[in-house]
Amino acid sequence: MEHLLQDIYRAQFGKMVSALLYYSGISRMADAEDIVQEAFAAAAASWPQQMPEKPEAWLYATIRNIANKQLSRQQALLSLDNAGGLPAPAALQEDGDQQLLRLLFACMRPEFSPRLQLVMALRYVHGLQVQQIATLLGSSPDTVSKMLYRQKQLPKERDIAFSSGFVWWSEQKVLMALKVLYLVFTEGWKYADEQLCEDALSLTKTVIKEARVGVPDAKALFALMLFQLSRLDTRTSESGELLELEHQDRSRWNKDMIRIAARYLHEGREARHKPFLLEATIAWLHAGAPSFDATPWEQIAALYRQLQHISPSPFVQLNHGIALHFAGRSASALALLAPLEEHDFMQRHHLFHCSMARILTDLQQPSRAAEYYEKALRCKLTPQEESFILKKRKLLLSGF
Amino acid sequence: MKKYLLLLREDLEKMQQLSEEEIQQCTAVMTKWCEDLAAEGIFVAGEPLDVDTRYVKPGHIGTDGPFAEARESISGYILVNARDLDHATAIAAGCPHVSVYNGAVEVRPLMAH
Repeated sequence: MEHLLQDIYRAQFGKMVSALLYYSGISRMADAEDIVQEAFAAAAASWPQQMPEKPEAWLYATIRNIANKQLSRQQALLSLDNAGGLPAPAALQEDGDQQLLRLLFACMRPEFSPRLQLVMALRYVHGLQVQQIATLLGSSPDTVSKMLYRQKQLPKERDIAFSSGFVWWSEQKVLMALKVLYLVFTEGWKYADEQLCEDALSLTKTVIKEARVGVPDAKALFALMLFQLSRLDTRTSESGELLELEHQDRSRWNKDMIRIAARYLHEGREARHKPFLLEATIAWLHAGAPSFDATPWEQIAALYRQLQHISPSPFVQLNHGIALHFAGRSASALALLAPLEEHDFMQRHHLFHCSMARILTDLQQPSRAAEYYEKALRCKLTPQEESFILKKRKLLLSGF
Repeated sequence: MKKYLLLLREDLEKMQQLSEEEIQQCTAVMTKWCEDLAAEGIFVAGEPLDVDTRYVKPGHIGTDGPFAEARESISGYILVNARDLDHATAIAAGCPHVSVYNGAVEVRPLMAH
């Protein structure tokens, strides 16, 4: 029962909050959230005695009752298009993804930092609990709560997401939403949280379907996600160990998915937000390469250079360096990566140290490589990552 | 604060001849304006309307397209909060539909209920 309730919570929480905001006169996110929480508390109390036949419909009906009771107590002005209270539960449940996208748009405000946008999206749109978000982002639950608390007091009147069809024409909203979906996908990918990846994918698809602007951008992002997902199952060995791209079984990459992704990439070629397009193109080159050695590294390095130019980030710089190394230009790679030694964030990130170790191993400098593995082991790691690095270091010290 | 309905009026026939790109451009400008109004707490609701039109009259049901004598019709509506009719009128004057696209806006107070 508890599991079922948790699953419904994660899948439906955002849809419930947004249906309330859309159909009722309730204007604060926090109030809508309270009503949904109350319905889940009621379910936890009454389901053990009697399990409803349709659990989700039961929750929607309960939410509707609580909301109608509250609304009848208020002397609310009727707006033009929602006179007459909340519609029947079945109607509340309709168009789930479209409602979810409205909620995502409502969470996307230009004055929010990208991190706050991500936290808002994870909490409201993807139905994650504070504790889960904190774990995912490597932050404390207290920090996450505080970030959310300040923002959920905001009234929806200041936003067009729930009050107008104009929102589907807002390039600013659409692009912000796509950027945050990209981040959600990346977090899901990092932690092999398949549901998070699929949720981000499905919402990107909804952007393609519903939005009137930014559609090529959404297509490029959709392609990028599909290229990544096509090799989801080959990232780990049968015993659950992480496998580098080099050692993945390419014959198991999902060919159908790659073909569909390539089509979306083609349709997204007019995207205004070039980073999605460039990243998807890089992913396409990887997906099409017959082997690790036959990968067009020179071309990939050039795309990373372009990406670094329009959207600089230490991760892009790192990937650019790695591509240069595999393209046979290790000296240039090391020169490019040297400044990252001074970079606060990268110094605490195992990927930087592991990449340096890999390059130095290839350059026959095992003792320097080992130093970088040592540094990597001092970073924040998942158990999988830790055993991967320990194994690498052992191989190195035994002279492979 | 009272509520006022801004009815955007336009020549529907001309609107039908706009290219997809022109419609995109014009809706993008309107969207930006609505977002700014929302940020000030003025915007309540509003939608652009599609040009596909049916007219219904007694004994004359479901005619396609605008009548010859009334080619100008409503192409969108926006519900706003304003202090009074003058304030609502000033808001309407700032609408790109008027200031950029030479369209007309009818400002109507909602009857108090």
